[in-house]
Amino acid sequence: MSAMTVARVEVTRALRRSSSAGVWAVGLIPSAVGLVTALRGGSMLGTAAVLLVKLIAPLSAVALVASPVGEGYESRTVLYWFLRPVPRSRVVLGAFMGYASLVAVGLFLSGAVFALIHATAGHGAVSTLATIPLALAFEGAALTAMVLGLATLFPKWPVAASAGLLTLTEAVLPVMLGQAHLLSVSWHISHLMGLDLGTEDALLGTVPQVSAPVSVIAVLLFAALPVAAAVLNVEDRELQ
Amino acid sequence: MNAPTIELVSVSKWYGEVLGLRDVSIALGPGVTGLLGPNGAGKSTFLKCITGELRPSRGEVRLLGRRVPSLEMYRQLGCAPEIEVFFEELTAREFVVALGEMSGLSRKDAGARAEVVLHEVGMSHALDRPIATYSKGMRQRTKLAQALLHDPPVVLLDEPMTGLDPVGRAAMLEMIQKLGAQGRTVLVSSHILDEVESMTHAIVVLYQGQLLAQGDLYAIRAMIDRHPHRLVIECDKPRVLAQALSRELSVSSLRFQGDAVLEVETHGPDACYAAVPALALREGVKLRSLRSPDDNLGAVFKYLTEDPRKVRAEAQGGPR
Repeated sequence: MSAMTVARVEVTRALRRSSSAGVWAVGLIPSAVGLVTALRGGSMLGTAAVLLVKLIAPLSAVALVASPVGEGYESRTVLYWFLRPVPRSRVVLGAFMGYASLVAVGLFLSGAVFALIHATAGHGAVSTLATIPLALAFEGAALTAMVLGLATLFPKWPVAASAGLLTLTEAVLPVMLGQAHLLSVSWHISHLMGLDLGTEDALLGTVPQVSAPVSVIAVLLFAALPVAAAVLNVEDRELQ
Repeated sequence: MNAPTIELVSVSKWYGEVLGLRDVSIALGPGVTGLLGPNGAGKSTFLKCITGELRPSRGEVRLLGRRVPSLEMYRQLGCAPEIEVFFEELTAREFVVALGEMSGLSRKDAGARAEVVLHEVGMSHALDRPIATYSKGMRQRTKLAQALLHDPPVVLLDEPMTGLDPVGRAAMLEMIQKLGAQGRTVLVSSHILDEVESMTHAIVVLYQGQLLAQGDLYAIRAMIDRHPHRLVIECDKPRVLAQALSRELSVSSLRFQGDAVLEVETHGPDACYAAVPALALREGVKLRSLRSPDDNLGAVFKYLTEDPRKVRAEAQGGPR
């Protein structure tokens, strides 16, 4: 109940910020790029899909989550929650639920538009109308968890910390040697969406494939760890 | 005697090398208590140790017999912290209702209760306006409303008068006195002596992290009045005025600062304030300003710190 209250408040606040609409609008850029590509006879699952999965999704999470979460601790507005008879962990979980739904819905809609154009152009199977938006929503929730965790742990530099981590996991690691790409949320999401980004991205060597359940578990783990770290941190934190 | 509502036992708090509170032991009961001290005295640290925002480096804090912090104590505690920022995008009603839900009320009950407390603090006219559009005074009132929402027996108010206009101050004062009269324990921090004096006579004085005095405000005032007060007079003929003052009034000392400033020390500041303009007029002296550097809490604390142990003992002696 209390977590749902926090989630509701965070969603309401975010929806009333004009910047949220801007972030959602930016989420449509890959669809526009894909539309142009499709009109020229190309496949949307190239540049446009990569743009959506590897750039827009992380950007959405950072833009919608990092600053408000960090600011809550820096300006001490979290006190209004923490001075109530509710465990702090529920406040963190509530915030995660709120922001995750916000980012996930935005990416779901972007993915739906993208999948619709893709299917209409005759390149995508009907099933992609469901898999692409759902995978993107899943990615949004996982990236939200990472950003929320980082912003809670480093509230003074929430954007820098989360952008730094996501650059590492989503841009640098996937092109490194060995199995490093397995630490990338977007790589797993691409995999779930049926995009073969691995062989294009690896600088050297071949990229081993994993099964879909493994990808789902990996993404869930990436989401759970930062939230758990944030919960442990706030339970023990003094608010000066 | 009833068990204390708020109890600090040998509480010390350090911020690294910096001392926030030093060995503070105190017990507070129902009614309004003013927590007084100049900026940096440790008032906020004191309050934060009670709310559980900070953990004492040493000692123990208890609220209604429960060790701080505990989830249960937050049902009994209403707190208006000294932060200016809110959930700016929400309206006062949404803000207070959400916090009511967090205090265990159903959404319906929280809604009904929010309407009542927001009305009580004079926010009925702006219930559904975004907080971002509120003045400082409206923010203070909204903060008070969220603190009272769940009807707590203990209320902590950190500098509640900040930013209020005279009408708002009067309303806030009345509200605080009403809370005390209802039998709640209300602890109000301030660095302005007159402000606290107008709401209660029970005070706790902190200075440099130490508990300097606890007791009746009049007793503290009496001690202050035993020290000479300083008056600084700016005029065109300070020596002429000094002669007249020394003839007419009981002054402890007279000092000149340059050619235009006279500093007077007296045990009768009120008589001096009244006499100076008349003497200046009679002697043909043009007054530029008349002020007392002692009319600030810093100076008061300077007096009090001359012998803190004596002050503590005398202050606990009760009302004059």
